Amino acid sequence: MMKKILLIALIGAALLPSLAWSQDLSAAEILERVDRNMNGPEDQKMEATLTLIDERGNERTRVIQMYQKGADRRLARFTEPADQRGIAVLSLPGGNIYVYLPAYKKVKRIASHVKNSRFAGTDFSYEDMEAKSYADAYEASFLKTESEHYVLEMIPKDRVSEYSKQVMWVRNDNFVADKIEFYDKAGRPCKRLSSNNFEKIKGYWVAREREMVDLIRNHRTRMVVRDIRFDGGLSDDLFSERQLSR
Amino acid sequence: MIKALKTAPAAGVRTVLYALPIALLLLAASAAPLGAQHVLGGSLSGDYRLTVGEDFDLANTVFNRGLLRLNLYADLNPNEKVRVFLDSWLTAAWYFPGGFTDAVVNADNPFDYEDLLPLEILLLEAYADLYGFPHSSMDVRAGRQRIVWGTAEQVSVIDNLNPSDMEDFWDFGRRLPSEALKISWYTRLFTLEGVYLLLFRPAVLPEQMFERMQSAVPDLSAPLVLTSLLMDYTLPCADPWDNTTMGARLSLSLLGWDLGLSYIFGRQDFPAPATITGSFDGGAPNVEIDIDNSYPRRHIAGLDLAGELFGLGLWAEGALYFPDHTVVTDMTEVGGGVTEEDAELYFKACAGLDYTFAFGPYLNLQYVHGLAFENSREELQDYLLAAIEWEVLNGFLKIGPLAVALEVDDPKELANSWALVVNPELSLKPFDSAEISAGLRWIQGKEGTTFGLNKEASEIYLQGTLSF
Repeated sequence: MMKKILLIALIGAALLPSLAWSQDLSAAEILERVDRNMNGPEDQKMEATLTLIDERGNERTRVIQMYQKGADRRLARFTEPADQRGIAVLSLPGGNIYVYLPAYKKVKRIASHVKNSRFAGTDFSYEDMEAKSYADAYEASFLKTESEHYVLEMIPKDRVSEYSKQVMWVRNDNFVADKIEFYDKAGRPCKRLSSNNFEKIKGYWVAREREMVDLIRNHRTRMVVRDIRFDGGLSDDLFSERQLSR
Repeated sequence: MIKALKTAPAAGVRTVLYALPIALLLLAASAAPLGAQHVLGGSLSGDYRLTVGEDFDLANTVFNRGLLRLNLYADLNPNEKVRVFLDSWLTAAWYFPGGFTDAVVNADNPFDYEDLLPLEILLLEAYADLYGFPHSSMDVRAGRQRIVWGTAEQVSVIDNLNPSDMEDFWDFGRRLPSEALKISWYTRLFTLEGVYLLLFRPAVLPEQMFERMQSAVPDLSAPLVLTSLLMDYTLPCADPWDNTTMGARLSLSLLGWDLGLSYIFGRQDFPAPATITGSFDGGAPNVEIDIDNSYPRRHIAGLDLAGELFGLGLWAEGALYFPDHTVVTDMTEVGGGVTEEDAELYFKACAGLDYTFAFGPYLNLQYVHGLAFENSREELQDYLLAAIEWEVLNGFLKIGPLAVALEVDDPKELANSWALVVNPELSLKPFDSAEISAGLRWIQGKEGTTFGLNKEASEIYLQGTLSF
């Protein structure tokens, strides 16, 4: 009898963690863990190559430097190709986005209608490039659990968003989002973001490769991270209009 | 006939100002540690135009402009505190019917290559940036620089520090950089910029300007007849105060809107009549009018703002101009009298909106009261500018089916005071850093209007740019 009770207790103890993952974490909590992965570092500095691929397989390349501090400040600057060199985009809290155009030597605030347009010809929109906390920007609900993923449905809190919802696949071992599907205002899937080649650097999970596919135009953008550094002590001053035009 | 320009060179001062950034450049380059970020780049562009006339007579087109331009720039950042920027143009331009600019054909050797293909080298910008100097919240920029103020797209009434460059009449908003010292102070709430321009440079005038300037000629009573018109242009003398332009701008964000308040004290970059003298040209009734133009002083107080409403990007600018000059007309010799007229203050404004539609097209609408070359209450006209652009085929093709400028000189006499420019354009981007554009500028309107005066100059054009 005692042996049976002990066996049941052991089996129960083995099952307990998996039961806790699926039942004890709400969608909001899972999203917060995703945020900790994405925006966990105090700051990050990255150089990446963006390859634009059209439906015929023709490719164009961009090189971009990105700086991020916390969850709500990001500065992105193009270094290639030549006709886009120096163009910089600054994303600040409150959804404020500024762009610097070296040809006009001018800093310009981006109105919300531009946020829905493609960022420098890529399949990422300005809204996609915004630095933000998922937990702050979306209402999340649980869709389903797959063998390796939690699947969440996210409704944007901002009505100006170009998307009606997003569906996020979150790995249940490390809480990184390796796939997101975007739905347009008509409820059709319009874009898909896949993240691959995860690597842990300084305790933070990084996707070395991301691909955004525009399902309607049959166009894709592949982002490959060439170099990334965390917690380098980036100053708040870096994320300002003052820095944008340097 | 235009008399020789009376210039007031300040070569010694210019030499020092040019030497300063070059010296900083050499110092920075020599001290450059490994990993310093230096960028060298530029572009090669061509611009070729055929005049087709107001009737769009393709059978009788005239080649009126051929320009090849090499732009080179160097952006040197030896460390995070210093930056040196140099930008230059090397231009080979051919204008019909005069031929190449400054062309001097050698009578002894008409096949002299150098004489047939003159080049113009223009140092656009050459400045040094010192970040966090003299205080961590301040930056200093010294040297020849382009200082852009205002929030308007392309046509601004606030952006007055640098003189206008109207070498290409259709390139609205192009300005010549100036030798200046700019100090910027950044705080959490606002940014304050103070600017001091050491040397006055006049605007580069388009050909069309000379007809407008003749409007200063006083009416002559019969039987007097105008037989000769002389124009003089007097630049400020070498005195530093005479050349000085100063300005300050306060900019801040308030409730999601960007606001700017500015003040400029300087000189009008376009010439204005100072004295008009009438005399007999070899005897009555033939009259010679001699107009002495100067670049008068003025104060400009400006306000600009930008933001959005219902998803539309909006901007607006207003500027109050306080001119400081008097026009003296002396017609005593031809039977008239002497009159003095003080220039009156006037107001310029612009406002615009833009929007990107969900299916792709971009719309830009602007209203302007007073362009850069309109500098008196009487000259100010109203303009409505509209453009639609649409990038298709993944950015390979950009269609600009509609770019329109409507000029209205007198709203009460609209039928007799309108002019219209229609400018459809197609652009191709065959590969990154390359762009080819072809378009038409078709001008219609009444003779007395700015655009209408030039309707015979309707043209088709082909332009290309390769960046590297």
